[in-house]
Amino acid sequence: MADLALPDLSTPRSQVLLAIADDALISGHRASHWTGVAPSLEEDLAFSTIAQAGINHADLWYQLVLDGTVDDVSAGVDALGLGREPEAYRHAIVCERPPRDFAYTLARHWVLDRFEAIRLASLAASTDPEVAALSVKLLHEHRYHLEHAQLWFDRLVRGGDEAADRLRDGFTQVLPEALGLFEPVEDEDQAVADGLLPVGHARLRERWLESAAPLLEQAGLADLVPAVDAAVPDEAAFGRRGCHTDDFVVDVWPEMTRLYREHPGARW
Amino acid sequence: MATFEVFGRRKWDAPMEHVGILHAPDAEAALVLARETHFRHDEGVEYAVCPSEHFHTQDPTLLERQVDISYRLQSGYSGFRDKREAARQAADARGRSDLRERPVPRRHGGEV
Amino acid sequence: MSATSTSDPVREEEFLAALDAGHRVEPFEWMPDTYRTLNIKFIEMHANSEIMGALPEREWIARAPTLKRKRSLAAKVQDEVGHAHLIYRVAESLGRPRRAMYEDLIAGTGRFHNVFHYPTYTWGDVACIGFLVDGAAIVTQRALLDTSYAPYARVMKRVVAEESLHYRHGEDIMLALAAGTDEQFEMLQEAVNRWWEPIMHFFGTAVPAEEDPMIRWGVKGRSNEASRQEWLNTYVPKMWDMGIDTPDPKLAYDPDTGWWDYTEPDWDRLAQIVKGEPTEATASRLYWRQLLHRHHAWVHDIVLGPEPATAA
Repeated sequence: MADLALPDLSTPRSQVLLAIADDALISGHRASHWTGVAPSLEEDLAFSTIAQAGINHADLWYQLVLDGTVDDVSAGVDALGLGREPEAYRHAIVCERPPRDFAYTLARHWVLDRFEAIRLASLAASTDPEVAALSVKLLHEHRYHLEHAQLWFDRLVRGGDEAADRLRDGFTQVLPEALGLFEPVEDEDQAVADGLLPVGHARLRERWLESAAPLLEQAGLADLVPAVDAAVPDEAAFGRRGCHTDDFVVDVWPEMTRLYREHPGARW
Repeated sequence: MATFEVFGRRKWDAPMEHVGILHAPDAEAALVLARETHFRHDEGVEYAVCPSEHFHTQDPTLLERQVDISYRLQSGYSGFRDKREAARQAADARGRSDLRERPVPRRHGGEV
Repeated sequence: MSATSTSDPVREEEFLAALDAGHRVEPFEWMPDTYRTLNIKFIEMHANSEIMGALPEREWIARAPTLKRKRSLAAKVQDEVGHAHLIYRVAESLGRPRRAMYEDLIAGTGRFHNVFHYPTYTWGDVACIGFLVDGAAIVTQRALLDTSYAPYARVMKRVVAEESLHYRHGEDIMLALAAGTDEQFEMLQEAVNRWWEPIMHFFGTAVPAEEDPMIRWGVKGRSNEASRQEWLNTYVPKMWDMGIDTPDPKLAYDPDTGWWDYTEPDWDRLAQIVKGEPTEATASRLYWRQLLHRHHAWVHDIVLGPEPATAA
């Protein structure tokens, strides 16, 4: 896309918005795995909507990254969503993990959507009016995701030993890695000072813990609640700075971007 | 006494619609009583009842949308006249315009 | 649930006469065993096909070339799963539980349409499945709006309405490739060549309407050949208009008869596809589903409730 002049992606604004957009795109991409193979037809339909929302929301955030710098907005969105090298993606590593089993998928869904709702709620106060407006819109749509995630959380907890054990395994895998969601993007302090990101990722972690911990405790998962000062495990760290695992670099990224990359400038 | 929700089908190919409620001691009685409570003007061809306590209503705000989902609707696709013309021009450029000269039914390309 | 049916030639004749007179059968009515059996067979195969049809397209959600295509393909495949959901319910109303149909499908004993046994290679396949294969399904599904089993006809109204979106979705992808680069055009032309025979197969042999039990028992209202001709009427001119050739040299429309001539497809090959050993594509799709299914036995009672769903 040589003729497409993308904006400077290294600014704090771009980095913050790319983190949000990439979280949505990559977790949506992974959610689409369940299409046609979910444990029930009803769940199949539900997860497809969650996948579509991820892709759709990523599109909307990429449009804000572009900030009117390109004439062809769709081409600009695709250059961001599909045209970057793996190390330019800013999603947290927990988003790129494969769906594993349905219990892991549900545990991650629960964690990610509670996190996203909290981040969006804080972004509603952004000094960037477009960011604030989009956050309010998406927060509204997130309600379904939260209700859907909580629905299965409750039923797996009460669903007998095997379901509860599997959910516990899912949370055991997801919770430590979820801490990578709260790592700051490059120059995040600047974005916070500007008011673009009213609450930095580190403080979002406190809010997320406050909201998630009581529910995890009630579900008998108190021992899995991350400590306030727990470090991000090495294997899930620095996603926000572009470090990714083979789950992204070898699995998601080549498949997701190959067709786009093989036909530079083509229209589809 | 209990409350029953009543559903009726106006025509054989119409969906069951909610038409109202009635009070009755049990489902069997509700089925008899629904006839003259809700269908005495020939409002339908079939009906069913369900105890109100088994009828759960979702908060309608869960259906409100703020994000455009037109990609899921027919309205999300447009500009076909221009797109077809672009494909024709591409076909001409590839020397494939002769395909258009083959006989086809007069009213072809019936839209779905 | 349905009334008990017994073999009763007099009642059967009356039932058939009522069908001929346009009677629509409701689940609570008496019906001959043959009617029930034929409908279950046909409707189960239809629902299975919606699921198996979702799988080849699903493979491309991960690979779609733009974010717009990615989300609209996801939405389109979601609709196919939604159709399966609606159509399985119709078979359930005839006494066949959804879980049983689903498990048979996964075990490899459930039948589904020939066109969903094939692999996909390029985005051109996505265009062909979305426009031409779906188009064939639209043609046959529209003919089902008149089916005699009322719950099926009602569901088809909803399905056909959603299919008009899929038609747009498919045409849009097709036109973009036809107007695209030479590589994109080739990708499309090659895929059309691949899909041509499976689509000709899809409509079935030109069995005369009076010899087709599905027509006699009011399941289908139209002959295989009538459906094939309608598809040719609609889709061949569309392809020619965008510069895509059709691989059958004999294919031609005769304005005098209003009929299309074409090379008879190889019917043995169709029998092999739908009745023989599973194709590699089907085997791998089913193997993978079996694996996921087995792996998730623990969750089935949780997501579906403990009792198998029963017809109401």
